[in-house]
Amino acid sequence: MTGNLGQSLSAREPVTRLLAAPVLNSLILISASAVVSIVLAIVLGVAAAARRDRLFDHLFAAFAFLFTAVPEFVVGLMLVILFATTVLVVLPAVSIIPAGSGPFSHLDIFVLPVATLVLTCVPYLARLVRGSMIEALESEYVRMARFKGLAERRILFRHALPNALVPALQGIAVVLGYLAGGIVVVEYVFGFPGIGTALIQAISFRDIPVIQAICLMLAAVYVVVNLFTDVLVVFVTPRLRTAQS
Amino acid sequence: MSLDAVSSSSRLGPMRTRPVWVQSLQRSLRTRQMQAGLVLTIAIVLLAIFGPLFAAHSDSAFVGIPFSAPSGSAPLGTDFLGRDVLSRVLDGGRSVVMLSLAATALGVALGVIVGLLAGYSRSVLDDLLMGASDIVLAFPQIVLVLLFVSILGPKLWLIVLVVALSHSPRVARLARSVTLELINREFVESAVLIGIPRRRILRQEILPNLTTPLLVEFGLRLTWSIGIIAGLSFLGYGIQPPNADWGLMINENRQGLTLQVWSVAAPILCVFLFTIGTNLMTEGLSRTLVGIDGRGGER
Amino acid sequence: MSVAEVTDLRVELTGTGAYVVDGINFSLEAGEVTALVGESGSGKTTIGMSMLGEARRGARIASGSIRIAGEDVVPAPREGLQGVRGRVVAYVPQDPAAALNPAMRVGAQISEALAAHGIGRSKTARAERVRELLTEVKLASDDDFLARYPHQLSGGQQQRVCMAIAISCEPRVLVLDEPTTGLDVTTQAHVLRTLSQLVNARGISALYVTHDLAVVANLAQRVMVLYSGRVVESGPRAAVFAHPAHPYTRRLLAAIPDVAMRRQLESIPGHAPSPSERLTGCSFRPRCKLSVPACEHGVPEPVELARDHLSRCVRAHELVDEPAELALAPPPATTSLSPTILAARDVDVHFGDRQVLHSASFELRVGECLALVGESGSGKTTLSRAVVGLTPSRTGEIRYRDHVLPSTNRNYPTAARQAIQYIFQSPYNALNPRRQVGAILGAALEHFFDVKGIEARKRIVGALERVALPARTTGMYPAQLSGGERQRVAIARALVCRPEILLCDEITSALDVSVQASIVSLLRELQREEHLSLLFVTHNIGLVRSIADRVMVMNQGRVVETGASQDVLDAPTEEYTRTLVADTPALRA
Repeated sequence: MTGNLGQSLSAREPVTRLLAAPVLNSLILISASAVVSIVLAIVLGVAAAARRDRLFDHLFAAFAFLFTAVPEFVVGLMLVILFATTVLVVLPAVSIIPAGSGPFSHLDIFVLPVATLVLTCVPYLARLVRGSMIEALESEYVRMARFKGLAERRILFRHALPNALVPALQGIAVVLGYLAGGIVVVEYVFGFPGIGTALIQAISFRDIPVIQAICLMLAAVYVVVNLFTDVLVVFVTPRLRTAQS
Repeated sequence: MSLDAVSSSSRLGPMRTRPVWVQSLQRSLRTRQMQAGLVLTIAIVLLAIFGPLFAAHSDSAFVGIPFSAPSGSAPLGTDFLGRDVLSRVLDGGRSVVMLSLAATALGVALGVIVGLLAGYSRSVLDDLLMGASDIVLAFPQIVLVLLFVSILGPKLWLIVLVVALSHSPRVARLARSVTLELINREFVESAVLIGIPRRRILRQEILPNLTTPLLVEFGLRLTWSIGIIAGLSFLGYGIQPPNADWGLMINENRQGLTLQVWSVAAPILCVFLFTIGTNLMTEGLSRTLVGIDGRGGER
Repeated sequence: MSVAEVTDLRVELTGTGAYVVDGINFSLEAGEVTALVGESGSGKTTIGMSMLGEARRGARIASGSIRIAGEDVVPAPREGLQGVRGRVVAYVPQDPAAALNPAMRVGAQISEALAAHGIGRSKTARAERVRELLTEVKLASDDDFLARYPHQLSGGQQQRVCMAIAISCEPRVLVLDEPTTGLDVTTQAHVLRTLSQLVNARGISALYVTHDLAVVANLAQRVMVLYSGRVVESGPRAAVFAHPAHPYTRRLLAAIPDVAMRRQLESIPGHAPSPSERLTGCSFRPRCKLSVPACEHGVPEPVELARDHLSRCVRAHELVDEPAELALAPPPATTSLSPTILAARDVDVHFGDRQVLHSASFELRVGECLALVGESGSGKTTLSRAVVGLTPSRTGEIRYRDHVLPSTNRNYPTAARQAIQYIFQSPYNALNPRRQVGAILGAALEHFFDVKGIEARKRIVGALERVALPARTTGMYPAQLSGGERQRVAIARALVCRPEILLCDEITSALDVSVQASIVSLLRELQREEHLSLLFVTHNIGLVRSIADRVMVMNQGRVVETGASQDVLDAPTEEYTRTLVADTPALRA
């Protein structure tokens, strides 16, 4: 491995230079979607678990199992119809970054792509959080904490949440891995100038070096995320953390 | 001598002797999710299979100017070439329904075999199979499928095969983890002890315990298949024009979204309802899933 | 003046409204231990939880009142139970490993209870208090201990931490829910001693929930016996044990093995009704040998037999004067002249680098029952698994008749596979939940004898009859059977193989005492009538007395002592055996 990804066949320039801007754009897209998804999923999941079998929980459940695994392009185009073309016209339907300006000066183009990715990730992740929170809340140690006379808030955040974290972390890893694929279709829907669009273009031009480079990057995301998760899981589980000593 | 057996069967009333997974299915039929999901899914499947019989126009007939609004002859308007949207929606579901069912069935079957073998062998074979599936897993499903289909051409059998392949490591992991949990159970040990051959242990002791989790997994994978296969034709690598297909229609007509929303909204609605239907069925099933220990499933 | 007063407590299922417990009345006195005894499903834990104002999911406290030290627990006070729990009434759990938060340090788990009730002004003051508490429950109180996580403690230490938490806010009532179930006898003895001291020193009243009458006999001042959701008998310990006045109490006493005497364990036929299947009248009636027509009419009211001694039985006055009859078991089989069928010599087992079995040897003679007894980690299960080749590495010699057995099961001769049948501890894991009983038995039959069809069915039904299960059990799934029934199926599966040796690995430890009694008598019967040899692995020394002809005591991977069970238990020659016997609670304390 030399770090040299070769020369693009169609654009006749080095792959690294060709992909620099798209990689940055996609990174922003993925990170923004991941952060919003994770925060939203934890908040919704914990709230639903704490209000188990009450109205909020039922509404949450209805939302979550309706939207789990609905294809991204379906969600994306529904959002376009709702907010960009037909029902309301408040957001751009396509994500164009004019030449010569950076992605940060056009934040409105991120709204719909990020919303699409969040809508496809949150149902899965939030259900996972809810499930592991409920498991923790039904545990013996939570009952014991109640019998000590602790406040419900402390029980939720100090006793249940830390123990519900491990499944949530593994879920986050799955979601990040999934996002790496999700951006391909979502970028194509919005014409977003990222590596997803670049990949589809490269495929149609049979531009092998570019395809190779992008696939390598996507696989790297998976490997790094999983490695990082494994380490994190050990870190938040005292039983594993203290195993060596 | 205790006779606790006698009383316990009277406690349970008439004996139920159907296999456990059948009982799970029956119980799930009583959930609202399963009922709603079943209605939706069956409706979409019927639409896809029998739709062509009711299409007023051929899928390639021009009935008006492009992107014209709904009218008497074209109730959902026309598409970017002036063809009848309703007729094309009726024509365009068959492939996605058939392909996703076939790909899911093949993928789950493949995954089960790999997972069972890997979990039970606990040897070089396990490392090998899991290593291979890790490589497949490292590529996002849609990217993997896209690569193969773009290189080898959009042949239907290839789409089925590649989607199945992309599912199988995920199913295999589930099957493997259940198998690993089971092989240290005492009932498996007891079969090992009297010397029952490995193949029979897999078939008789382990496989029956996989049926219920696999039913749920099938539902989940089916939803994903729909997304991938529809997505593939949305990207232009599935059914080729001028044939009608929901994913393809969405892409063809989306530049006219501001002019004629139905040419996009109708196929989108079909795919959306189909996935919601399979989602609801999966949900209903997993609610009544009986765990390995006879405990209730998902909360 | 009582510390706690429970009046007309009723807990019912939210769905059907059927009661889980009903008509519960009792009071707790300062400095006393009151035992609440019952088998699984009797409602004992439900009552224990109610003392803290809690009902499990799917149940609710429907009526009645619980007042502790002048404060209401039931009905719940308006400002909530938070202020009452921990401060007025505290809880010691059944499974301390599950009850301590795995992600929190031990010290923090104790001090947060203090903080919740405003005890100790500062962090340092609370830390000081935590140290005192740990000393009081006889644990180390240094910083290192405070910083440990629960998984770094032994079972006994975990339970002591739970006790420290429980007493931290000086509650008036302590609810202990089978606190020693998972512990070894020696650890149990220590924990119980600490408990007695705490109760005495602090004048706490303790409600001790348990299924173990033997523990109660050594600990409690008052006893309540619970059956199917009602207290059927209550009174001072001596009265209940010496003059049991309810048929259920009498049968329960007869079912319990006793380390002090070789008892014939008598089972109670039938099973306790669940909330949805209770009959009118006395719930024990269907299982009671002494029932009379009057038992069908209405729930028997408590009859006062002596001061504080109550029994809910229409014939209580007759029973109380009749001494409890406890049959002795027949003398042990004399098999000293019988040939050896199974022998182990100098067996070592390693798990990785760790040696868990150190040159263990034994001989099992034809027709005898040899008990392998020891605490957890003694190597008793490892030895029994080594016999069938289930340990990863094993050296030394194991011999079945003329066969020297190979070290792993894979190479076992079919004759040995068939003759030595292993019966597992957990009735829940031993049977495939997805196969019908007939198929489970049929698989073994087809494997060894290539028998199918009608002949197979005949043999399967025969084996089931042998273990007192009806023929229609063949069509049932394990989930449809009770724990005792599943264990019978496991025994039947062994029997269809036509074995010579049954290796029973703690097979009654997950069962209620009355069910245990029936399994034990079944094994005795099989031993006698089918000339089976039994290797009976157990941690329960009382049980050894009732079932075993000879006993082998193990400790830390070594055989400590072997001999006729009577001799070993009455006059142990080794120090370890002596402590073990002394720490085992005897019924006649």
